[in-house]
Amino acid sequence: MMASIWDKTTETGLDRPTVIEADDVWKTFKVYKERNPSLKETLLRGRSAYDTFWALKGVSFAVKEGSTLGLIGENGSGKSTMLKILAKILRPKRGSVRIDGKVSALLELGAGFHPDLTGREIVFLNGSILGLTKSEIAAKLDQIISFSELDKFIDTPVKNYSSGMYVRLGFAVAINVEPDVLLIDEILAVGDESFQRKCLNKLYDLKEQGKTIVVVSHALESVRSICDEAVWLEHGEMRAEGSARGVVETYLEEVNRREEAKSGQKSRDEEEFGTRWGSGEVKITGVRVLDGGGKKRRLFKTGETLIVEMDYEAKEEIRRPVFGIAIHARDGVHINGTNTKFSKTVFDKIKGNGTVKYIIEALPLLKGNYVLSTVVYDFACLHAYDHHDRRYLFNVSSGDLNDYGIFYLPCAWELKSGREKK
Amino acid sequence: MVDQLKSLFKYKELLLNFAKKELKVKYKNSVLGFFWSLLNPILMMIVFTVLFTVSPLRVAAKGIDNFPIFFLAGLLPWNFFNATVVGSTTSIVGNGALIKKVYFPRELLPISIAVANLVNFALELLVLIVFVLGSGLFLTRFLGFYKFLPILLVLLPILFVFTLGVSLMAASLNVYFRDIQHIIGIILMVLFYSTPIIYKFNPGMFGKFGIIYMLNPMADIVLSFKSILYGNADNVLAVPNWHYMAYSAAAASIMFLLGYIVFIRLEPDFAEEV
Ligand SMILES: Nc1ncnc2c1ncn2[C@@H]1O[C@H](COP(=O)(O)OP(=O)(O)OP(=O)(O)O)[C@@H](O)[C@H]1O
Ligand SMILES: [Mg+2]
Repeated sequence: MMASIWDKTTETGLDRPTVIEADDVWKTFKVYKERNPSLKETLLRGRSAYDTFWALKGVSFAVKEGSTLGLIGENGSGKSTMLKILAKILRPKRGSVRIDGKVSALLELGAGFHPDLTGREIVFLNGSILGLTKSEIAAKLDQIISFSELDKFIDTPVKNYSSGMYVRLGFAVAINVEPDVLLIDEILAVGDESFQRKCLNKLYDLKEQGKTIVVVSHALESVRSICDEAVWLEHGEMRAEGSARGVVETYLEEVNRREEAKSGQKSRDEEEFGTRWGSGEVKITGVRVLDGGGKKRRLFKTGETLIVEMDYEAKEEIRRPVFGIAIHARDGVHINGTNTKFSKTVFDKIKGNGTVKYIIEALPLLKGNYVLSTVVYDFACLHAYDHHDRRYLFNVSSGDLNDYGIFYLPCAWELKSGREKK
Repeated sequence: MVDQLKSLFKYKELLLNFAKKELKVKYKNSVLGFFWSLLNPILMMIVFTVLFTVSPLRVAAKGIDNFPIFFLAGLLPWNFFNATVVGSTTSIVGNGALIKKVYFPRELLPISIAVANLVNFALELLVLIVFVLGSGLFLTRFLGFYKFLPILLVLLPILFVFTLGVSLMAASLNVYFRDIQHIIGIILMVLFYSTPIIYKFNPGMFGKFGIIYMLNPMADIVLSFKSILYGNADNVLAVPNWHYMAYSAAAASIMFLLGYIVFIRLEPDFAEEV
């Protein structure tokens, strides 16, 4: 296992007080058979008919001052519901929540203000919802406008804003009002790339200032890097809690396992993927992607052993065949191509059935989706006996690594500090 | 409930902003904007004057001196009540998007509508007072005002609190029974004619039912407004009947308590019902 390049050393925080506490929170929704019953119906059969839907089933967690919690889970798992309960927008059916300090919440798209109001008016309205006085908001106005980069549009009615602009404005207000606790629901997904980075940087700043943050996000990369802890919700239940890295990892493994199970059902063994050509004197009859223990796998962690086994069948005697493998990223980048000839492994001749094994001791690829080609050619590498082009999928998760890109490059850092100038 | 009322103080900035928004949205895209609040009563005055003193319709106003003022003195407080109740009824449902996304005490929505309408009403009252001063011997009028106008400082809060009580109740119940927003217009129309706004009221007029008639707090409130702004039957400014004042104050308090309690009981689930 490769060591993580930089180990985040988060302070243990034993001495810091708990500022957010959710204690055994249960939440039901009424799923009306008919929405907005009329008085007549209500009078005729009492409250109109509805099913009870449990959106949260006993969720508990605590967040210490200055730490950041991520809520993850699939669509409809109850993340937003939990956040709304924290924000006092919804009331839990059972259990309780407690938040100390000024709360600023940024929930989903748009804030539901009157479309005729201008950006500037919305800033004031939004600020006063968060409990600021007019002069306090006025003092921060420039900061907010410059953060949102909406200088030109600040006096335009928000009905003419794009959804990204709207979110920028909301985010700019929410973080500039100096809350003690910030609740954020999936906003990172809306802004453009540069604004997303800006938001992330701002979140790091806020973290450094000791603010407590709860984020709901499907951007697992960001969750892993920003959050100290995470809670994984599934159908309203807590599946895992603990260090953000650990929880994200467990979650990803589960998702991949499920996907594997699903695709396994669809087509038994081989997936109909990519193309195949060749003259057929030798045929690749089976390809298996295995881990170090010889078990079939789809998901690998960076640094693990990956083995590809190719079964072949040669109808006649073939002299000096060349077996090859190519790895592409799913987005098309050709990462590596190699064969037995390049590796100076010459098979003199083959006939009948056999298996060729390709072994990568420590997979250097980072998180991503990849696809394998397996080929067998003549010794000149001009004539294809059998060529399976980009047919076999596998995925990589970076595990403990935080590196960006497709490759893990082992490296070391040194610091030579200059003499201090007087 | 007292705690809840106290916590509202933290949100006075938001309340003002909501009220401002209410006014702004109302006059958005209109050239004269805010002046409409002043212009409206002036135009009404002109229309009523033409209708009821010049046109053949004047027979309808026979026996009532200064009919336009008589009418406006009752119509303006009524309009405040009417606009606030109608606006509040849909205030929670209509702001669903906001309620689902941010927390603030939800009663701020109907309260801000009442405040915005109160500003309007105050401006209209000013215009009306100018008309009243011009509608008779200036000195007598002026002396009358000097004596009776301070009573408005009691009467306005009574009207405000009563209106708020009705509004809170209508706003919260409408979340659960949307029929209310449809039926409220009819109810208000019935109430309009059960209140002595357009016609002259005399206690004997309903015989034994006079008492029941006066149970409608708006009747008491409007009659009190008329005493101060129009005067008694002879158009001489007068002190309101203190029975009316006392009863409407009590009714307003009870209505407010009732409305607020219902509102508070239903409020926590608004976000999932709107
Ligand atoms: N007001 C409501 N009335 C009825 N059901 C609701 C209501 N709000 C949420 N739900 C249901 O509760 C469940 C959880 O919803 P929630 O919005 O918390 O999911 P989520 O985890 O945020 O999902 P996503 O990742 O898609 O944002 C969903 O099944 C949803 O249909
Ligand atoms: Mg959500």
